[in-house]
Amino acid sequence: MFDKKLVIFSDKEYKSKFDVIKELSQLVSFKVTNPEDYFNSVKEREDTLATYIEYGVAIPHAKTNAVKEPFVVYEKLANGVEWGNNGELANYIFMIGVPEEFAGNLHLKIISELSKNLIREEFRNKLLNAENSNEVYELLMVIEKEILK
Amino acid sequence: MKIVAVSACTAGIAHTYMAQEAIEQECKKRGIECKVETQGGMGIDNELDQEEIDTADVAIFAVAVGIEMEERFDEKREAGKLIEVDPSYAIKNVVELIDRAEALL
Repeated sequence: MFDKKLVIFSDKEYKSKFDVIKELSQLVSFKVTNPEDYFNSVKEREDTLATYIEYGVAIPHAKTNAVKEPFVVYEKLANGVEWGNNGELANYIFMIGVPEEFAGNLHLKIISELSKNLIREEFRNKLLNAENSNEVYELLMVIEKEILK
Repeated sequence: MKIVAVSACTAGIAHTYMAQEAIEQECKKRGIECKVETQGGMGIDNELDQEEIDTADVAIFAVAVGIEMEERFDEKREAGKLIEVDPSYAIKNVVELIDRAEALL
């Protein structure tokens, strides 16, 4: 579900979190039936309750038929984007997509494992300070193993 | 010392499990025995039975929503041994939270 191609470092200046989500939705076009449908599901979830967590991390996500296979995209932003309900800025974006019919609570499992690992200071520092996609990918693979356990 | 806790957040996912991890980590650091029940999107995990609650010194609610089977903690509440905080408080101020729990001993 993690993919080296889906780890990005960006120094763009996004106007809003929805610009980030829109761009990432295009990036995962090979994982979805239609990026627009996927985007709309993520936006709907985001509008209900912002997915900002802590430490500058946001986890926009959707479980929808527009997703063909589970994925997690990671984008590290040089310039933070307002994400939380209280104006918190996010620099580290994990965007998740899981097919609706997917057995079990895979999306919950992904979110909970990711969040738990982010609480661990050593892991968090390594992940958030990683300087290239290989480093990030290796750390994410540790999480993937826990998710699929 | 033994602490039992329940974590539950509004969306039922990230903060629930983050609060659990934060409390477990801090207790481990201090050599405090602890068990954290999560009531989240995946249902109730690590459920606490009455005996575990009764034998604990302090209970913590890191909850932003009403929880299931809250009555298990009635006695702890009456005895003034229940600390109630928001999950994000438990995540950001876990050191202070466990200090508070230790002060109740």
